[in-house]
Amino acid sequence: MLSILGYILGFLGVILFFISGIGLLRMPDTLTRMQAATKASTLGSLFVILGVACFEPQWTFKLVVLSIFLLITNPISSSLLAMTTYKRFYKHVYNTSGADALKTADTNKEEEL
Amino acid sequence: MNLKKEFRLKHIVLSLLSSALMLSILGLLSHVKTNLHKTVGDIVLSLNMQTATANAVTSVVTFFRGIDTVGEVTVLFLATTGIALMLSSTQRTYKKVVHQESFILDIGSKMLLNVIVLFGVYVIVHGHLSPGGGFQGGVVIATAFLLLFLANPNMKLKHSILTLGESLSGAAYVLIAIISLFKINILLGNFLPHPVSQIGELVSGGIIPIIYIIVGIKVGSEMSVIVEYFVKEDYLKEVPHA
Amino acid sequence: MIGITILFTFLAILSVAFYAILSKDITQSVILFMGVGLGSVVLFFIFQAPDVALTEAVIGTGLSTAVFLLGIRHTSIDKEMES
Repeated sequence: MLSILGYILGFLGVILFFISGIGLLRMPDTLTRMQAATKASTLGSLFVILGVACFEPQWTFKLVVLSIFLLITNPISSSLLAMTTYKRFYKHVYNTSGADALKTADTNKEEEL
Repeated sequence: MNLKKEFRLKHIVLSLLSSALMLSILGLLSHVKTNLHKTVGDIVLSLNMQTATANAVTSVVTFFRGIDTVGEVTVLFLATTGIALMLSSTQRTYKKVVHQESFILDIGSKMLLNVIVLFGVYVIVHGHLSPGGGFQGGVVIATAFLLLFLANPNMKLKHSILTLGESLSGAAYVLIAIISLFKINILLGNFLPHPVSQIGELVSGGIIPIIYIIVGIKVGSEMSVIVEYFVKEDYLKEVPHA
Repeated sequence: MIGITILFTFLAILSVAFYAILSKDITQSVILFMGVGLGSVVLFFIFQAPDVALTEAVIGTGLSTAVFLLGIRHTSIDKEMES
């Protein structure tokens, strides 16, 4: 019974990975591609980890640590990538619209020690 | 037109490559055992009962070829010394970089440090039971510090603690070798009790876990220092030559 | 089955290595070199050397890539940031 649940969860995860791959190929620009890749792959990995936990219940602690690692790394790296992309390639957006919340954090000066 | 065609070809080749990698991983999951022939590995495995470790590679690395491991540790020490001689000097000072105060990055890197160091300590301590050991766990810990340096360039390691740990662990390794030479006449022999009945437990295998913990401390501190020099090289203040 | 797996892994490693040599962008080439390390991790695991696989995974894909990227950042002049 538990193994059937594991198969279903693993299949859901694989479907999410497939959707993220299609999005990575089909989306027009960097930010939308990144959104497709990271959002789907985080949830997909979590589903796969849950499926593995259904197959092997004695691995649960290690899998919890693994999922914590995934839950920290994936959103942080994607948010930093998005911020860098915005600052580097999308300057015209906030030059024309006038509203920019990231501009206050843009203090990239070098001071002498 | 030509560019578009090339682009499509690239996509097709990349998708084929990724599917090949996926298929190979699937095949990896499906296989459990392969037929092993009569090799030198069997001899080592039959000798493995002397050292009573669940991971047979460990007994080869620390017991049958123990002097090689001492040599590897020495090579790593020399590499660290060379890098420190080249990249560090009292005349060089580092610029203070006002890095972008990203709240997410600060908190996230500090949270990740705990998880990665936990994994490194697990790899070191379970070196005689599962794949891994001192070298691998030490490098894992060093990557945690690499992450911290990339997140915050103004961070500084406490070199006094690192130097103390590195030199003390190196001395302890040589001391273990000499003690075993005097006690059972074998260099790096297993002089602590290691009954075969305890195989697979956390406290088993005599001196092998102790050696791996020592090697882990040594490799972790050395690699952390190397990583610090490589990252800080970017933020050097230009000092005119005297 | 295991033979097919080994064959596919070898093919993947070879193709990624060719891409790493032929690509114009040096950063892309470093990332593809990380793919070579990833494929060799699979190979080491198939040939029953999990210790070497762990070492390769940590050093070949983690530390060496970071050191290469730091070297690229140190030696190259970033033209887009200056403008």
